[in-house]
Amino acid sequence: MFKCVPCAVEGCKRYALEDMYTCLHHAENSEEVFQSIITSINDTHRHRDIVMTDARIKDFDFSGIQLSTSDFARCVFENVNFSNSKIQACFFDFCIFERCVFTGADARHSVVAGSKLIDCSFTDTLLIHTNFTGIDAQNCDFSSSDLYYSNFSSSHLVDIKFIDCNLKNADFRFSDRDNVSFKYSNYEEASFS
Amino acid sequence: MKVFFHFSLSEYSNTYLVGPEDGGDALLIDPGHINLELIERIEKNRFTIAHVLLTHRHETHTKGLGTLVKIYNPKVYAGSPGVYDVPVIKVTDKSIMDLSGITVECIQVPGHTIDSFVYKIGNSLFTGDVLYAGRIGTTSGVLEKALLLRGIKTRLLTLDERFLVFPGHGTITALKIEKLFNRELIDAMASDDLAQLSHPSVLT
Repeated sequence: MFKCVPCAVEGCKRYALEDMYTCLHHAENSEEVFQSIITSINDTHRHRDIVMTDARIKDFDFSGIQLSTSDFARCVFENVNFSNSKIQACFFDFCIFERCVFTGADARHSVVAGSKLIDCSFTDTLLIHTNFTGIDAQNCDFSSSDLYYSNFSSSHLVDIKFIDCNLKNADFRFSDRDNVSFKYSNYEEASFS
Repeated sequence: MKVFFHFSLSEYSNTYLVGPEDGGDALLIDPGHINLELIERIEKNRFTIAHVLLTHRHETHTKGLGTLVKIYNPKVYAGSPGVYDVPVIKVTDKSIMDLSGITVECIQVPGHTIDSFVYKIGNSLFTGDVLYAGRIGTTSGVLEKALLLRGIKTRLLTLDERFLVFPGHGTITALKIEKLFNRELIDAMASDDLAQLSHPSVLT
């Protein structure tokens, strides 16, 4: 888990890809390596310890993938479908998610902190113990999701739906909220101050 | 190295299981509650719990110790050996231990309790109740808070900000995330809390 081997290129602060010496950015054949990682993720098997930071992933169908303890920090995901996937204890910190769908996914123990989320759907998603600290989210739907012990502190939330969610022990302290709906959710069990 | 997360529903605390890829001697950090799910995870990965690390003395992090000792008889490590019912090896600040091939560096950060330790394993920090996602540990007074903040500032925030943080409660995080978004930490650092450290009772 989280091997975090530094990229061999001097001055590079990224981590090396699994079983390689460099990060994706400094790989000799980075496009081929990228495709190979995407293909391998997209099979029916469970993968772990994948490191692919600072990548741009657009128009991919990752529905049903099984990933754990992987690092996708600072990636840009555009129109990516993560429906019914299992992405447990994965790092998606400081990413951009635009028009991504997580419906029915299990993303427990993952870290999305510092990310920007635009027009994303997290409906009916397991987000137990998930770290959304400092996110900047706009027009996203978390309805019917389990957000037990999830952390939205210091986040900026605009036009967000948390309808019929489990918010027990969820943390919304220091968050800015504009047009956020907690209808039918147990928001009294969440922490706002 | 594998790290597994186990949440204790009865104590609302996190327990971490750290072991080699192919099974063998493993260590458990903060056994707040031992249940069948955790035992099955240990056995499924062919681990034997050889070592237990305690971040501090609070029962929510130690309650499962008795059960664990009965099953695996591990060596137990903590900052205040005298407060437990089982034999405990004392850890000291800046000590580095080799626990069945896993290198553990001990960092004492008092404030939440006097015996609070953070354990550094590879690029991971097991912070107990010193630092959580978006929070710092609770303290019983302003001097304790100042001590805690000084410890976090000088011993943790000086580390590589890519370090992962596995706290005793709540979600996993990273030092960079806490530096940027932990409002309790940011506000406290900006205030005069650190000035309290000049108080004679702290210095003596």
